[in-house]
Amino acid sequence: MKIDMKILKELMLIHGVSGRERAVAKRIEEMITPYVDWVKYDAMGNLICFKKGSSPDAKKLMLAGHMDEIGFLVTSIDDKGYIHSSPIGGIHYVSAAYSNVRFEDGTVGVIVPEANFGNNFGADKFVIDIGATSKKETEKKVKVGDFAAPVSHLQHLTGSFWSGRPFDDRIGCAIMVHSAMELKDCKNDTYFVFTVQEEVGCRGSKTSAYAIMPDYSLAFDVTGSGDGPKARPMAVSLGRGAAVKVKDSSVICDQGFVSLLMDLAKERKIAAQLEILEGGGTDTCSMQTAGAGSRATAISVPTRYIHSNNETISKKDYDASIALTVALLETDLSKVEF
Amino acid sequence: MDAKKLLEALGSVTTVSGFEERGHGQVKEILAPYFDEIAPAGVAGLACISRCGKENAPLVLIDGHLDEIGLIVTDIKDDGLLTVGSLGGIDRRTLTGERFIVHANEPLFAVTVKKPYCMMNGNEQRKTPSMEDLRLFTGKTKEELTALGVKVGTTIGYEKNYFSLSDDLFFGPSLDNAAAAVAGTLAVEMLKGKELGCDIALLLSSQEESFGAGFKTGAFSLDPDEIFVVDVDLGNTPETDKNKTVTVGEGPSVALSVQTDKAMTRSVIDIAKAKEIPCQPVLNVKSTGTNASAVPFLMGGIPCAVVSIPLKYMHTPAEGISMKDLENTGKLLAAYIEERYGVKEAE
Repeated sequence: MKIDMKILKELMLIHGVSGRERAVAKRIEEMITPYVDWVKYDAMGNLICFKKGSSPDAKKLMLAGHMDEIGFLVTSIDDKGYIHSSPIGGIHYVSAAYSNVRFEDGTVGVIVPEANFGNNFGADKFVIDIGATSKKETEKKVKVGDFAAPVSHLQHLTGSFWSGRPFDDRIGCAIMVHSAMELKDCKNDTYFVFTVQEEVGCRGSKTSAYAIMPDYSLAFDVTGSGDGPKARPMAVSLGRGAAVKVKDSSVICDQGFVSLLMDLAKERKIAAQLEILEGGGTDTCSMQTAGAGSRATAISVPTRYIHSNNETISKKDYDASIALTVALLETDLSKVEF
Repeated sequence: MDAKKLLEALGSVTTVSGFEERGHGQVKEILAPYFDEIAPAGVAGLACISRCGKENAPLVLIDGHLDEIGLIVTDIKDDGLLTVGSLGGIDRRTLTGERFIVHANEPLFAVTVKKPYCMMNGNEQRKTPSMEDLRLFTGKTKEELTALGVKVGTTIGYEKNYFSLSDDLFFGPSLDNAAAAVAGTLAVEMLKGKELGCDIALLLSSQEESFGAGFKTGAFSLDPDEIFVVDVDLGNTPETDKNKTVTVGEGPSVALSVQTDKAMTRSVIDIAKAKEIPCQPVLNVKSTGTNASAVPFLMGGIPCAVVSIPLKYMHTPAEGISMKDLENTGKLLAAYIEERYGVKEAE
């Protein structure tokens, strides 16, 4: 299969801060509908797409990638027209300083720290400047309760490396969309679930997993790597393949499912590496513990500078993740002994 | 049955938090003689069930978590040294000087790498080693380790040595929470031959020491009517605050907490009094620090009591309990179940 960056880029450029994922969902719905049996939304806004499995004892497999990105929520506007905000998700204020932000309606601004902020990089030291000179002028474009996000972009670096935002987690969504497209023989009853509000506590996956009650679950997300400059030691590197999650700070994955994915990767000659992420959680945990529980793990894309404006990935890992996902979807899980 | 033997047998099974399935076969074999059936329940849990023979009988669930604290390999360095992370709240002070077992295809010994004490400056001597700096030495090269099945995600545990300090005091690793499994089994044994109106499930749940996935899912799949969470409680030792600990040898603790059911807990304490079983009511107002934390959010909420075995030196390779406390925990569970679900003969 030949995968280009088109779908990923398109998804990355759509505005969709936690709680405001509708535009992302609509575009994914258009992309995936021809390849699945039905799509629906639940009350929280999770997009659930189903494809029936060909196995006579088809198991329920839930895939989850979150549509939301981190951003800012407008809390007040001062007399000079500056916008005060609070972070939605784990905003990295060092990275946010002096960057461009965009509101849902397209209004752009810059987020700047106040003078003499010292080492205090917190939400209260930052304002968004949209160039207005009074509260009244700002309020014509931006209201309390509006959402902004750092301006999205994607650029090619050297070799297989790309940087931009938000890879977290449009890359997970794109892997799922491509997998649905590439899939030839869907063996399991597969739910492609594009979840909401992961960045604020894995909320969308909690309700959707509870409604589906899968036998097997697989999350798609980014993970850290140990190969960034002075990075915390981690046995994951960019370009070494899809990362199969063993553990993160919210979940210990099912060993059988992890081994199955690693064996599949070996058999199909897909690059894969084992991942332990020491800081950070994913939708995996909510799927593992829904109802009577499921065998859960995640396929992660090794990423440097997560939650910054220039998250960086290797396309090799993106390709490997799609290939490994397709291989799994074409494996009859009812025939696998654990 | 010999409770000490059973405790040593169960404690010796490798069930590091999150990787409990490795020990399922052995646990089933050890407990099979005491139960009607043993089946998987929830995430990596085992439900050991004792049936009363009546249809649609209510179910009393006794939860005793199966997992133990341990370490996990996070990387194999080029020189063969292992970097590790913790699974559960391991006491880092115990890490140096201890012999560990790497759970590879065959068990491998490992020791922690450490600068000699006499070469450390005063600050270094006083410092507890950080997890990030810790390296484990197995005497093998990276290639040898890989061939033996060691990889990112392989678990590591304390070496399992058990010993008695007196007839009553029994020591060793992972009594948290093998003791609970034994207490539950004792209760089922004590109730053998008695006519009951309930089934009993001893749920050996996974991940209590880490993320709690096992209890929530196991309990959900069993759909019980009442729950006993059985765990260990902090036993007092000379350096601990008497008000925050319980006394080893004075019976199981019974938690009074927002997480426990008032009527059920009261009834447990009353029955202990009536049957002269020693027990220690303790206040754990906000949280019991056990699987009971999940009970208020479980389905519609289920009555729950927390009964714990006092234990010294928690999360070290030398945890210690009183066998008398263990037996009394079994007795108390059995007495409650008999009182509430026993079929009384018509007079």
